[in-house]
Amino acid sequence: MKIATPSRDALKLELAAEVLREFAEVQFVARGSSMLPTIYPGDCLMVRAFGDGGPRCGDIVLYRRGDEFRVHRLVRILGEGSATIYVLRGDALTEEDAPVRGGELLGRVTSLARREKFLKLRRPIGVGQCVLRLMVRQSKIAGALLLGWHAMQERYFPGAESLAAGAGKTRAEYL
Amino acid sequence: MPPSVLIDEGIVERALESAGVTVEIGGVAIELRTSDSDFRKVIEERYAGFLNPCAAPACRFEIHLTADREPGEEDVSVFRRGSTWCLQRGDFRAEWDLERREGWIRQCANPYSIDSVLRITHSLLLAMEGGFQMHASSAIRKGRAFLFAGVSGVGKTTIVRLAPRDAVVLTDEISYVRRIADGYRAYGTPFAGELARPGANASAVVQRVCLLKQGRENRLRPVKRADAIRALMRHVLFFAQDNELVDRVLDAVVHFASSVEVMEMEFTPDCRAWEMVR
Repeated sequence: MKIATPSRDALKLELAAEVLREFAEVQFVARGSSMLPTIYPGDCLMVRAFGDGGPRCGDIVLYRRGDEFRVHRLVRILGEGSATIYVLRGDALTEEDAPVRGGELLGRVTSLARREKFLKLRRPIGVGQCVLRLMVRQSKIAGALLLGWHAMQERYFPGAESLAAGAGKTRAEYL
Repeated sequence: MPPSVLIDEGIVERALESAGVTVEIGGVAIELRTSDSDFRKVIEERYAGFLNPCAAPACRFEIHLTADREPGEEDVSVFRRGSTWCLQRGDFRAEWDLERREGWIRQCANPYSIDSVLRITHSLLLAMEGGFQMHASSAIRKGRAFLFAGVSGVGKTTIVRLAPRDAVVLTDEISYVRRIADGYRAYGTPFAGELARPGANASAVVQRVCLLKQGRENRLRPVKRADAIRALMRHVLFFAQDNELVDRVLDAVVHFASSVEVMEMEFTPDCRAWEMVR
């Protein structure tokens, strides 16, 4: 899942990462569908820096790969100490991402806003979510149906867009 | 009063032991069952980073340990009889039924034998879907995988030993390559060479294959496609005497050579060699 940043300019990404380091919190609007059914395009994500516990398996993590930010789920932690490697994967994807080093992980998604509602991300996920995730992973049609359903809800519940638009401005933009 | 249930711990332990050990390499799982608890521990330790009890196995092997077979120098023989694959070498014999997805292995308690059976089984499974294993070391850098192929002694282990901190070593001996929608993906394997350390259980899209050559300077040289295919074929691991699968592997290598960069990499054995790997 890629993140809609004000610009994909590397400097602005740097600023957003800086804000996260400085204020331990930053908001983004998600785009892409690799994290279905957990995160839909347009969701506003609240990302917090890792506390003392550090990243844990199952966390949805913001990381930087080249000139873009990505939000995927942490599925495996390999090695220890400075040699630790993190393996992530989008909930809707069958393939894992190329592994990342600790320094590239920026923070954990703690909650998201969708249609004026704030949703806490539950751990562990429920059975319903688990089944949905499997379906989306196995079939593109299931993913397309979910996206269609989501778009229909967006359309018939106005107000959601204004929230997303407001939240779309990352803290980096306010600096 | 809630009803109390007494659980005999022995039963639980026996139930857990009767379930096999599922080893998943490159997203392909193989379940290994053995009644010998010591050998089970050997397997669990050897493939520690690659165990996935939740994975649906592509095949199940029942291992029977025999005392009389030790690894030797014999050549391996792999052939198909109807829907059954037969694998044999001096130190092991195995059969695997494609339709029932089940089989057995007779071998001594030497872990090298189980390594070989796993490698051969994976080579067959990979060949059926357009992938292959290659005698090459591999590592991920900046989100892309790089393979280093070459004959023994040319520096496959050396190059990954020199890997900088931001590189993730997938293997120093056997690279695992699968075809994906828009290219090829390299996966880590537990099969170690001189490094004596299993690779990381991770994967990435293949960017380049480097045909290694030790030299006096660090230099990358493009290779003609025909030469690339010839060189790659020398390093692909395939054991079966089966015309159909040999054809598929050849097709896969030809397609692979046209989808990823293949270059000759002359290098001096120091860490500056990695300046070419990006």
